[in-house]
Amino acid sequence: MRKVKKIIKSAAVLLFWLFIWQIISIIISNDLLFPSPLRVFERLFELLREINFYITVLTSLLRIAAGVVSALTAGVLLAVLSSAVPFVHDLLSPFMSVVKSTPVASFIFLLLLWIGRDVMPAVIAAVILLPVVWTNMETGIKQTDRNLLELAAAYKMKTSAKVRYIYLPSVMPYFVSALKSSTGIAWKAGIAAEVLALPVVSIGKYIFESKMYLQTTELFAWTVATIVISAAIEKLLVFATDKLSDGITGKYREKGTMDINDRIC
Amino acid sequence: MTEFVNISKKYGDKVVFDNFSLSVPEEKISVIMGESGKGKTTLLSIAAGIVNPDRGKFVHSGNISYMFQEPRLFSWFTVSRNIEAVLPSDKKHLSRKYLSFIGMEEDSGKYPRELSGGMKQRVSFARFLAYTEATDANLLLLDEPFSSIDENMTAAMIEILKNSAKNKTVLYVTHNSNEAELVGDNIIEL
Repeated sequence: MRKVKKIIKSAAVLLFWLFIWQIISIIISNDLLFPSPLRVFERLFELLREINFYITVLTSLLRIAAGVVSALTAGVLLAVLSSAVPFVHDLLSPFMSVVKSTPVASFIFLLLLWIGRDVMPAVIAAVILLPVVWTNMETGIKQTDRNLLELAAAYKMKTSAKVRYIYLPSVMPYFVSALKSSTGIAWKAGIAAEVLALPVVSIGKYIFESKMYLQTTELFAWTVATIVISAAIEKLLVFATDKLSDGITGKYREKGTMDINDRIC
Repeated sequence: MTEFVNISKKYGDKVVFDNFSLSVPEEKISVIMGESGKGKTTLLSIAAGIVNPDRGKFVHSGNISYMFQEPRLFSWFTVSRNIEAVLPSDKKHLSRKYLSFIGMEEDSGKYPRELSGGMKQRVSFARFLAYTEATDANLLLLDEPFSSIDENMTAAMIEILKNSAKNKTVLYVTHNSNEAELVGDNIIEL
């Protein structure tokens, strides 16, 4: 019953904003500037009937996913290294700060000069994600409970058991938090990079061309598609990371009780 | 031979041990008593190898089992997995045996947050006993193991300990003189 209520509530909120969109489009009454939701969804459904749409979406998704996976791998490895060797932390810290505070557009233009346009959006997604993953993972490793590590030492637990039973459950909430908070941003930054780099097959190229030829309805349709894909990725990630957490920490999360501060009893 | 030889240890400016030596009676339960800050826990930690002395050494041959003052349970594991986590893969079955010893077999699927303080301490005790058997430890270290458990239950736990500690050397820290008399063969004042 609660689930039905939640669905009805979400649908009502969605309808409200579609209604506002419709009202604004009626007031402006110029499809070239602000198309109505009806026109946009009509165009979106046309796109959905084209095989090219799926190829484009999949190509962009894979391209940006490659960046995300690279950032996750590099972020985790660097966090392990910098937690173990303080000098590596000191070395990486200013680099990560610079990466975090540099405007994405600067990276895009610099990388356009240095690397190919097909790879650049993946690198941009990685650059956006890397400092967040590194910071969160390093915090997670440093926050690992010393009492449990002492217990592991006293009970002569193997390194593999320490990693599986202590470090992984400790860093999991930080990893999930990094993933949830930045993958959406990485996706959007990746699309923005595509708009500027114009890889041959990409969502960004279609968005750019719609803007170039003043096909505002097309632009809206691709934007709606990007938003829906972003929401779907987020849902999928939440599902996947919850399953991963359950695998590592048992079914504890199902009770809705595990959080960053809840680690030792 | 179980011996602390010329141990010195300080935390910052606070000297806890200065050239301290102690020969621990073999196959006896020795109770360590003393005021707070006298280094009772530090002594057990040095014996367990989780704290290094600044000078001196601890001498013992054989495996060591340690029960901490706090339960130190993994909040993300069930009671039985908390015990299994420290056991070698061919000794996991001991979890069930010792949960039954402490009367908590039916709580094996619960998570630590579902347990009272005393129950957590009993789980920690079961883990300690299971590890002792799994590794055939001959030196048992217990740091105020039953501080959250009521008197009747403590007496029952001490009986279990005494049965499990036969032919083993035990160092048992407590503040409670009644408990010390009940458990100890001899008392060491720090």
